[in-house]
Amino acid sequence: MNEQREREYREYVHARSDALMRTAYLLTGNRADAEDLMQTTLVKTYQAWSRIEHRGAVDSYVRRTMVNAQTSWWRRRRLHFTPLDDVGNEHSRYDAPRDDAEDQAMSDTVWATLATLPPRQRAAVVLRYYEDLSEAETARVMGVSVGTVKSTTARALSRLRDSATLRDLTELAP
Amino acid sequence: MTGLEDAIRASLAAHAQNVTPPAAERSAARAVAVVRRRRATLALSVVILVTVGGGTVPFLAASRTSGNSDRLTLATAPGQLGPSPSPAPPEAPPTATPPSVIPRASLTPPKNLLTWQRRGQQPTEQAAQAATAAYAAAAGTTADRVGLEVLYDGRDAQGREIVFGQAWVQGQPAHTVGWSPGPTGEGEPFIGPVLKPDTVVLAFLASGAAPKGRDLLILLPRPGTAVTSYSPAAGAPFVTVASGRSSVEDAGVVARDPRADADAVRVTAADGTVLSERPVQALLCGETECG
Repeated sequence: MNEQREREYREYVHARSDALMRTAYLLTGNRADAEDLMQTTLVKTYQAWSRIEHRGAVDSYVRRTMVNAQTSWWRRRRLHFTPLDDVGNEHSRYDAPRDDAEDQAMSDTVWATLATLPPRQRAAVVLRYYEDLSEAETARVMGVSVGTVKSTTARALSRLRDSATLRDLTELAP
Repeated sequence: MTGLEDAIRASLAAHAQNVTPPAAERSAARAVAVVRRRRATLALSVVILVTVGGGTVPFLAASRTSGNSDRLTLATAPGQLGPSPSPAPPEAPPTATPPSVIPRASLTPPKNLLTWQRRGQQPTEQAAQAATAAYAAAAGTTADRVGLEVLYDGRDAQGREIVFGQAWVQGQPAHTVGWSPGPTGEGEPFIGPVLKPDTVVLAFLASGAAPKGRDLLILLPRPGTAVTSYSPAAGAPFVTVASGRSSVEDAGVVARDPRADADAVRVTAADGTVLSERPVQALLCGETECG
């Protein structure tokens, strides 16, 4: 890679690393795995950098690489799913700002329940509800059909609805 | 927008804000260093092979390089992926039902592979290759490590090919897979649940080939079953859509409401015994995994 391309790559990482880390964190659920996932993604992106013709397509490429790396079966084998107690502990370290106790309870419960989802369901939820991608865009990132995105998301939401705690809190919410 | 969806958005946004990213310069530098180290190692390997192996070097070097660029294949037209088609040996005798497995001698079929007879047409090599490549990409592996067995091959109203069957990565269990034309004409892969050996009916959801505002739900009952029926909502009557008696056709096709969340499929035996009655969602997603 020539100096110009490498400089572009470093500029891209500088501009986008915060957003990438956030997405990695939402996909993995903990900081250590998120840093690992982000680094894996950056390595793959650097390898491919000189072949990505349109710089406007980099975000899409990086998202796809990150989601594939997280949901690939090889990686999934290595991952341990974080127990709910650990999720609570981890969350308390970051001390999320909340409007009130009810919102915090809802947010924590959603987060804890998300941690129990299989990686593909979790990825679909993050892409749809955090990255705000359409079903078609999510399908492209995940390398699956729109139908699969629909069924995967529906399955994830169904699981969340089945959470007794979450159901109670949703009923309480105005 | 539902309360649950709002709660998900709020929770994700709140937790994302609490993450402190590592220094960008350090992350970029580490990535660059890792790649340079790998390339240096690869270059050293090639030099050694040149010294030792002579003519095998180009093949080995190319193999390593393509392995490093697996994610790029996602941006390539699926039909261009995967190994070259393996031509049938000229002395092979014609058979009534041509083999539907992409021939890869090194791949061992998984234990959960269904041994149903293929229905519909003989899949084209291009569609089979595309389905294989899509499955490989989703599995994070290469097409040469993926096996495919087509159980159904048909055409949508525009004459575009739809492939439905099973695929697996060497050493892994088989999943339901499908391949259909997407809304813009490019292929759409569908990857469903891990198959169980006692599976009674397979389901595959396509979007691009369906009437507007609907998804195309394709149901493939186990050969030998009598009636496959579909109920669009909780409490709604079941309507017959297919039969497993025919050994040639009979995949059930349903124009499914994308919002359906309580539709179900029932499969009965010839004596009326219900062999399976399950929500469509469970057929599409399996018990623990989805997509």
